Amino acid sequence: MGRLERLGLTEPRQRRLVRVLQVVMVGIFALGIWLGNGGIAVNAGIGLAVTFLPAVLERSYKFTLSAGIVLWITVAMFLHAFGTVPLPGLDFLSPYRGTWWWDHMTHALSSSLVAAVAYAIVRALEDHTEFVTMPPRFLFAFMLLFVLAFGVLWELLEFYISVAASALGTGSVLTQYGLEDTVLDMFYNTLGGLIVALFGAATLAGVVDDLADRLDARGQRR
Amino acid sequence: MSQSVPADWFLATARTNARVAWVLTGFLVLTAGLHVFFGSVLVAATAAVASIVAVVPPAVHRDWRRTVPWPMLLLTTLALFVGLGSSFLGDFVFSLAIAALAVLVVVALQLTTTVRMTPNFVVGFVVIATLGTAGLWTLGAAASARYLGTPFVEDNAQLMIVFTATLAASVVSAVAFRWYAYRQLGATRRRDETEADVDAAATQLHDVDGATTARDGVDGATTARDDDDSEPTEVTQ
Repeated sequence: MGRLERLGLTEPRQRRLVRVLQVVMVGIFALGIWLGNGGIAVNAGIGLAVTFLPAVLERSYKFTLSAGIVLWITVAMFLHAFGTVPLPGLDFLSPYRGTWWWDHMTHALSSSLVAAVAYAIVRALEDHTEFVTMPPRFLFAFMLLFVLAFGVLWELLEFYISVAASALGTGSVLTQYGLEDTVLDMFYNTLGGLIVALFGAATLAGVVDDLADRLDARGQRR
Repeated sequence: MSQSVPADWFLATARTNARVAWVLTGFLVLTAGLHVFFGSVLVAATAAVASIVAVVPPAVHRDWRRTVPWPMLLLTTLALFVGLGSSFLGDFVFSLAIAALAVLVVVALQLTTTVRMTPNFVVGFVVIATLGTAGLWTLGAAASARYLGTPFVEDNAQLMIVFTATLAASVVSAVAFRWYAYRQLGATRRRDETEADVDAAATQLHDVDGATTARDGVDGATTARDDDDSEPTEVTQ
C-alpha cells in the first residue's frame, strides 16, 4: 500500500494501529456488557472477531494479507462498533442515531470490503483456470452487481433477524429504520463498491496472486 | 479432470435451436410492444433488452444460426409475457425472467467477447446478477419515485417481500440452469465421442451405418441407445 506509507503510515505503524483499534473494541464490548446493552456488545464482539480473521487465515492457511488490507478491515469493523456507543457529545446518542452520515460511511466502507472480496475471488479463479476469463470492463460490472447483490442479502438478513427477534420477543441486534434508510444504505453500498471497482485493483493484486497460488496447490494435491 | 469444460456448453443443435430462438425473439418483441401499451414499462424495457441480447450474437457473426439457447429464451419470454403485476408471485415470475436474461447475457458475451465462464461460475453469477439487478432497480425506482412521482413500494416490509421473491427466483433458476448446462455438456461430450468413433469407423470402412445411427440419436437430443454392434461409446442412461 504505497498510498498509506506516503501519509507517514509505515507498515509497523499500520500493525500497531490495528492493535490499538482492537483494544478499543474490547473496551466497547466490555462497555456493552456493563450497560447491559446487547446491541453494543454483539456488534463489537462480531466486529472484533472479524478483525482476527486475517490472523487465522495466516496461521491455518498460510494466507497472508498485507498490513494495509488488515488495517482496512479493522477500521471498517471499528467504525461500525464505535457507531453503536452512546456519546456524551451527542446527548448520549450513538453516532448511528445522532448523526446522519455515520451509517452511510460504514455502509460504504463495509461494501468496499465486499467489492474487494468479489475482485479477489474472480481474479484468482481467472488465474487458476483457463475456462474463466473476465476482461476489465466486465469485471467492473460484475463487482458492482456483486456489491448490490450483497446489499440486498444484507437487508434481507437484517429484516428477518428483526422479524425473528420480535416473534421471540427479544431485542434486535440489527435494525432497519425504514424504506428511506434501506434505499440510502444501498446507495452508499454501491458508492463504496464503485470506489473499489475504480481504484482498488492495484492494491489487491497481491491478494489475488496468493489466492491463485493456493487454488493451484489444491488442484495439484487432488 | 473437472476442469476440462468445452467452450460451447451452451450450444444446442445449431439449426433447430436457431429456428426456435428466432420465433421466440419475435414473441419477445411482440411482448415488449404489448407491454408498452397495456402493461408495465419496466417489463417492456426488459423484453426489449432481452430481444437485443438475442439478436446480437447472430448479428455480430453474420450467421443466423449463432443464436442463444432457446430454453433460456423461452423462460424469459414466458415470464415476461405473463407479467403478473406486483404480487409475490408476480415479483417471483419477473425475477425468473431477469435470471434467465442473465444467462442469455452470459451466453451472448461468450459468443461475442473474450468473456469465458464455467457452468458452475454461471450458477453463482445468475444469483448475483439477479439480486444485483433488484438492488439497481431499487435505487432507480426510489429515485424515480422521488423526482418523477412514479409509484414505488410503500414501506420497507414490502421491499423486503420483493427481495425475498427475487432471492427465491434466482436460486430456482440457478438450479434449473445447472441441470440444463450439465445435460447439454453431457450431450456435447457424447456427440464428440461418437463423432470420434464415426471417424475411426469411416477410416476403417467398417460398419459406418451403426455409428451414424448412434450419432443421430444424440443429435436429436434423445437418449442414445447403445447400438451394441459398434465400439462401446459409453452412453449413460
